[in-house]
Amino acid sequence: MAAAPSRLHELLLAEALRLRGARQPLPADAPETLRLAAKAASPEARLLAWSALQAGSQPLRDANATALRLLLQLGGLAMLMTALTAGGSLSLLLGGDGPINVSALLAGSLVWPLAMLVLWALLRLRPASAPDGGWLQALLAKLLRRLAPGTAALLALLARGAFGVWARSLLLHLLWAGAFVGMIAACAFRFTFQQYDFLLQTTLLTAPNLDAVQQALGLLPSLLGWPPPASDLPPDAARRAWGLFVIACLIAYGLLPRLLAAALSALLARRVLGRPMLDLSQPFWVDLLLRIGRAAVVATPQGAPAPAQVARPAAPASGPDERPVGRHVAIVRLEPEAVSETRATSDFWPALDLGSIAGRDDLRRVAADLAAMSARPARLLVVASLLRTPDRGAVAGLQALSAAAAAPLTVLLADRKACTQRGSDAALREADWHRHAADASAEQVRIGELAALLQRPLPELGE
Amino acid sequence: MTTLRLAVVGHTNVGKTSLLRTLARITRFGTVADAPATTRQAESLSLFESAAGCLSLTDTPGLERAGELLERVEAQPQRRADGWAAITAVIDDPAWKPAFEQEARVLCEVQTADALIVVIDAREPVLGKYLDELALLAACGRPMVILLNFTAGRDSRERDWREALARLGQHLVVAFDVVLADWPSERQLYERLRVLLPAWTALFDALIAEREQHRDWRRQTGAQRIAVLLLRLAAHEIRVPQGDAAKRAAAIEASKSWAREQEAQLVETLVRLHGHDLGLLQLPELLDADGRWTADLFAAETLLRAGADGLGPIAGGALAGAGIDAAVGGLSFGTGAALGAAGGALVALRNPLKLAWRRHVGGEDTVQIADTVIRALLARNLGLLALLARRGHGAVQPLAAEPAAPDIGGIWSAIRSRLLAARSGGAAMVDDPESAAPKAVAELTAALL
Repeated sequence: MAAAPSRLHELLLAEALRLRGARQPLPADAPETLRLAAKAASPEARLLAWSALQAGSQPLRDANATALRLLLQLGGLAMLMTALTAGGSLSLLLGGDGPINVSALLAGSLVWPLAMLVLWALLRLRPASAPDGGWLQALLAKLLRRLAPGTAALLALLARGAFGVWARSLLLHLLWAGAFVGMIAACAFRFTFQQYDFLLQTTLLTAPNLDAVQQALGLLPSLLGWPPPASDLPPDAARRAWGLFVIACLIAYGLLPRLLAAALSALLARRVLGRPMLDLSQPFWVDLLLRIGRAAVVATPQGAPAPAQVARPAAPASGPDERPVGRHVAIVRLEPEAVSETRATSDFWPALDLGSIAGRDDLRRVAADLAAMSARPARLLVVASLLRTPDRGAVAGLQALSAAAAAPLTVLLADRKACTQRGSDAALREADWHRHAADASAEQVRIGELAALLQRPLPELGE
Repeated sequence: MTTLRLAVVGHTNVGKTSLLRTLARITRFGTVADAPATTRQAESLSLFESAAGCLSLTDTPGLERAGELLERVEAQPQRRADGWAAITAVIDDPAWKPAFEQEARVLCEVQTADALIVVIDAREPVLGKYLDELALLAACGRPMVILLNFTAGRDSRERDWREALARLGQHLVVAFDVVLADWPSERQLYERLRVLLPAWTALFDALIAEREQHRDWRRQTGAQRIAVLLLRLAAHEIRVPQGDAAKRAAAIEASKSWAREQEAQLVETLVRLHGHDLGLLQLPELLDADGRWTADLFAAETLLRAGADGLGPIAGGALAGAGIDAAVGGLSFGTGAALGAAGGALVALRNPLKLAWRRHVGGEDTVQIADTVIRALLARNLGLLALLARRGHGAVQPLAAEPAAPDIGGIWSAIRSRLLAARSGGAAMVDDPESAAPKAVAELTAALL
């Protein structure tokens, strides 16, 4: 039982670091950190190991712990509120001293399960503007963020696939169970301090008509030791038997199934938590895994058996690439005028700068990085200079990159002004590049500068 | 006669064909365009013939996939012992033949050549693919000279390239620019080749001597053609009866047409003299397709652009005389300056006095080409001569603007008295100045040089 919280905390820390890294560049990793992380077996284990090695992450750990505590407190409060509301409303339904119609009481107890179903449906509603959850979830997330600023990592984890589903399921079933606890408590309270007569029949349905219903309804409570009341009981004994039967029905048909469902949800959520949880298609993780992979290659002593293949699995030679498609756009500068020291970043789309290609070694490195990515890029953007004359070598390079990325290829032709200033016919050069890019199966060719492209959304990403 | 075969090789679109055009001073060889794979087949030309042998240059298609080819060559077991064997093992392999067909064609030419001129576009950064090409060519085992092309522009990376080449052990490097025909650079290329191929020293010595003679001849002939035209323009005159405005206007128009035609012929001569082709010269801002200047010789703007007159003969004579006064410490009391000015006045007033005499005594008006027009013609054609001397035959880009007119103030002062003298040269001077006044032609030519 201790392993799950520990893993949850590890995951939360990793998510918190990713979110912070997406907002502001993290300090460069020490080679030793990357090498230690590279010793882990799986990609996620590497990321978690890297997270654990991050110095100065204690504030993030504290924030995560606070967020978890807050979530549990809010859940408990919600359960209490649900129990009080459900109990209070049932108490009102029971009314004064008149006889209680058992059918109406049991039907009334269904109001809360129905409310829970409506809440579940609302949670499932997913408008286009909220890709990571429905509007209600977005509202709750906003509330949580306001109450505790450090809940972003927790929310990101809760929004993640099966874990989020089962966590939400657990919450709903616990709320449902809380409602039944409140109703049972209300019944027990009212039946203890007041005397009621119980009726089963209604105006149209007489007791013989409902006999079968009573027998069927009593089946499960009978197994738990509360059989339906016999028809020949004296009035006092009948009242007591009917009171207990109603409570037994609420326990058997309301509380117990909810507790079982909640326990199942908790079990499944924990099981899911044990599986890979981090979204490896996130640009931050993709980039970090590449860096860890490179550190692994550097750290390997000479003569060791082909570590690069372990660190950078090559793209499959044939057949479809089964890696998931990430949201990031991989950027490669093909034979640029000058090697840029700064990595390209954009506030409008997730850019992952893989650096420049000035020769065969660079081409191999970038192709290996593309092939080693945990998720295929949504698009491969190759920035080529119009100052370079396109040739068959460039076509072969583009083809190699495109195959390794297994992503649609866009060629961005830059340096148009410099091309004209050099005295070249820029239009003619563009036409040559178009022809060569088509030979490399580029999906599109754009003219412009990367710096400008980073400053606006990319329509081809649907943004 | 033995032939030295040099193969010109390099990446695609680095100016190999342009280099051959510039070295051979021909404009109609191969195809030159700012695009990849313009040259598809190897093509040779004979650059020079002498008793010491014949020099042949072979233009080759550009290398485009040298990196991939080199990668496969490096995987061959015999790559260190026999680079060419390793190369042929790859390019003869049916699996790779289609991919490296163009490279194979180039390398076969390399293998049959005595030496290589490897052309590199020095405006390009030092990229791996270019270094791969050098490694591949080095593996062919042929001596090579590296020619850094396009080094005249501000975007040249000559220093980066020299450092990179030095690291590779390539020290026979020449900076060149096929757009600009620069004789010192060209001479350096031949000298490097002479060092590389000592058996052909006599051939390169003869080539350098011939090229220098040819260069001097072009300069001399160009200046002479301009000098001859200046004298003809100065001597040109049409006499019309005084007061006949129609005949006078017709004479003026005829003189203008004649002058324009003479200048067009001069331009054509200068262009041919430098081995250029008017149709390919691409000087749209300067000359039209027929070799006529786009700016009319008689337009006010053209005349203004040629600049103001220098010192006139009177002031020039006075200045010369003042120099003598100064030399004798002022003991001559300004006599030198006065005599100089008087002499200058005689020269300056000779033509106006002659025209006035004809007008008032002979009853004739005389139409001549004005000094300002002759000066404008001199300025712009001297500029053209300089431009033609420096324009490489491989240049395909049009000139964006007219080159700055040379400062001809000094030249004009030196030749003005000779031109004034030619005013009275008569029809013989107009028809054939070289026979009529060979001394004047020689003096003017010397002044223009």
